[in-house]
Amino acid sequence: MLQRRTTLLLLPLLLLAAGAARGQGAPAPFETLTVSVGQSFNVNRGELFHDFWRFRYGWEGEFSTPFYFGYIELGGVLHRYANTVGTVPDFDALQLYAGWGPMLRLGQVQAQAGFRIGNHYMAFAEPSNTGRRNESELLLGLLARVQVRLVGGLGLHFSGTYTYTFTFEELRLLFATVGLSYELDSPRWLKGFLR
Amino acid sequence: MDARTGRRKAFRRFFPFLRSPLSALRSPQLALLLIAGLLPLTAWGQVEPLLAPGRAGVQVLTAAEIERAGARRLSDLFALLDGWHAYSVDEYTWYATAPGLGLMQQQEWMLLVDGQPVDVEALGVQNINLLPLHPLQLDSVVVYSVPGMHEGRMAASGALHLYTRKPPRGATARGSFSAGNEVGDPGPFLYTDRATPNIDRVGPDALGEASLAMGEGDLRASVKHSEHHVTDQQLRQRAYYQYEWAPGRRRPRLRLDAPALLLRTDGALGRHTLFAGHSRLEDLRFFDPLGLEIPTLHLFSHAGLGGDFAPGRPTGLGYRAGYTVTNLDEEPTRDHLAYDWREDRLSGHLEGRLGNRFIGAALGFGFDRVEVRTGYPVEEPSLFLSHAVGRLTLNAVRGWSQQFSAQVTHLEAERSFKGVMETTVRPTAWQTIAFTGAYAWEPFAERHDQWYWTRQGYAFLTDAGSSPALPGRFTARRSLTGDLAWMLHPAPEVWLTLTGHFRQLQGLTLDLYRYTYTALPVLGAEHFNATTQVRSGQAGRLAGGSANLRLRPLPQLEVQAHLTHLQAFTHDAAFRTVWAQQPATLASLSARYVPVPRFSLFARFRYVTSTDWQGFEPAAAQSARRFRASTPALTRLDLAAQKAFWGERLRALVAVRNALDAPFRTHPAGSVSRLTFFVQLEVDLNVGRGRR
Repeated sequence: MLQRRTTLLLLPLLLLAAGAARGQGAPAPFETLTVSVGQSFNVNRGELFHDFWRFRYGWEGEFSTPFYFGYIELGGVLHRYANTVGTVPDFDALQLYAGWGPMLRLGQVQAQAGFRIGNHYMAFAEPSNTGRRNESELLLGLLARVQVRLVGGLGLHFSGTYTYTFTFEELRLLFATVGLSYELDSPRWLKGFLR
Repeated sequence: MDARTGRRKAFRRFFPFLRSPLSALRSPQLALLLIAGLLPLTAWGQVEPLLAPGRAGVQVLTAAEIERAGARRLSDLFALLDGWHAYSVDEYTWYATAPGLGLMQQQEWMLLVDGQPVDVEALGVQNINLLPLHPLQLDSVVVYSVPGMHEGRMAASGALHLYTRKPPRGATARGSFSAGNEVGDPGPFLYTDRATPNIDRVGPDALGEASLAMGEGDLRASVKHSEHHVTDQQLRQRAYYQYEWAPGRRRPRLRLDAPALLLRTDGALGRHTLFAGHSRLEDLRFFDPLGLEIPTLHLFSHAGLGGDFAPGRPTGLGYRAGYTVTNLDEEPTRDHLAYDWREDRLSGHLEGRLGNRFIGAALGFGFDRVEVRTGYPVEEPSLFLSHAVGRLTLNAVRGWSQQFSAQVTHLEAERSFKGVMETTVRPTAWQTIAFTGAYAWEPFAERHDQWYWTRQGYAFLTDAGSSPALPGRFTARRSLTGDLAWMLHPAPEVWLTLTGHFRQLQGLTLDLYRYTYTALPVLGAEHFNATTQVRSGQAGRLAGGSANLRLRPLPQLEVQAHLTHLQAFTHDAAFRTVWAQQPATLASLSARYVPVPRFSLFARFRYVTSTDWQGFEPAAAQSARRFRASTPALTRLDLAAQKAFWGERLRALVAVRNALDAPFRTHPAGSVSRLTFFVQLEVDLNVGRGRR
């Protein structure tokens, strides 16, 4: 089931690549800046991870801007997990990432797909017998997102994200996110810096 | 299985992301497809024009290539060299060899910095990372995979010539920081019965540099810092076994601090360079004759002055002088192992040349003085080698050039001779034929390696409980090599070079190690016990070929493919054993893509065939195959993306090494590395007038 869902994320990436690369409705690189916040939910089950922990809640925040052939994003997601087995501690996870993907604008609707690369930082509520309280590992993700412009620069977005963390026992998690975003013209100094 | 099913399976094998979306995340094919799909869509960016291959067997790495590949240590350059193989036990100290110009045991390729030879070798190990320079300080690296004369020294085993960047006018401050993470941490499963050992971070590696350029000169001061953690379980267990814990002492790791100073003038009186630096490395070097890591404080200091009073002109005078001190100091170890070794090297060379555009001749004289200081009673601890070199260049006939170089070295009652002949013929505008032939005859004492000093009385191995079996007599080494290259330039931005190689190596002194395995109840530690047999007078022949294709199909894309294959024949048993430790075939495919200005993508795929290490067979059997006496064929894909910001003052690079996440081990006792992710930031502040 998980594989089928992630295929659904992969497909838009490939489809959007061609359309977005032709520059349909795409603004110039770094021309605008979009700030997004949202709440995310872990929607897959059945992984080894879920034998020990359950998802409590998660918040996501990011900046994105048009880039060559699409957009780039920088952001972070905070997830909180509670144990389901008494022998393991609760923990908070912070995913810090950079991403890129093609973007397509069709009127008031904007479609994005892409990948993310970043760090999955985990802070545990209790020390282990080795005294370690945190862990950090490489994270890759696939993303599909639809954003609808409501009024002015304000928009509503829905996204699905599949993340893969390269721990020895792999973490494969699928998230759904709903949130608000606001798009504004990039300040001149920021455009100068980024270009 | 019918043909159609077979085709479908093959298709799915090549495009695994169609079969499993999980594998898509780790699929290089998907990345290549996406890049290929985007290629024709823009012509905004541009890769630098291809450099025409000037000489056969010579590769030039530019600063842009080095930067975009994400090199953060000098040893990362080995992954970019065509036909060179490098292996490492700890992934910090790399043993490298040019194609067939020597065996891995003989680290004899020459290292030069801005025209000055720098000896970083110590007891048979040549660790390029000891050099107090960072890859980002380099303007270019010229790689010689054929014998040749460089700055008055004959390099029969190849050479790496590092040219540093000329700073921009005015005052400049630069800094770079990189750190990485290797995958495979336990993550939250640390608290479960699925817990695995933690994998430490990689690095950090950092550089700070300040420079001042005005008039005809420039001055640069820099400091390099590097850390390398022993995170591989095998290495960790061996290292912890020898490591003597003390209050306040850190856990075993390699740590390098290396300041350097570079002063250069370039004006009416010629070009002159002063290069001085000091490296302090807390080392955990694997010492083959003992089969274990010995914690050592490795100190390296070098000061060199070199120059030319008429650079670039056929008539002129050049000189160089250098002083190097290598010190292997004691670190606390369980078995009280200490090399007690210091080697001072003083060298000088003066060379005059005369000629015009048709004919040129050069004659030079110089010396090398080596002195060993150790508590062991070494007989004749100093050596004085004087040498004379000559070179004759003929360009009298259009489309044909000829060069002869020779060096005679005098060491007490013995003399050595080395000579190189280079012929280049250009019959048409689109093809060049080049031949490099070399002959070398050198007495054993000229190499003055660890076995020479052991024979002279350096008894570290005996003190450490090992008694290497040395031959009754060490023979003089002879080598005869030939490289015939056909360089084709069939179309603009396309270069194809086909080369045939032949090597006849005789009189070699080779080490044969035999490792047994011991598991210790203490801390779950384990270690090898080694017996060493040194054989002299060994011989073997190698023959093979290489193909190199470089092309720029689009202004924004450069692609390079390389293949080298060498086969041993008519050889002694010891030669075969040692040669089997090197892969017979090496292949690489690189791409640099600059879709838009100030943004680049880099990919390099490498493949090497398997290697056999006969000496590890007993350890493999005793450890129930925990160790292997071979390394399998290795594939490796390295990726990097770089973006410049703020008018190129700030550069950010993300790199993924071993993107296929295939276990990568180049030595049976070596660490296994997996996918590693790096981030590198570089700041370049030119507060003066000029900009890079």
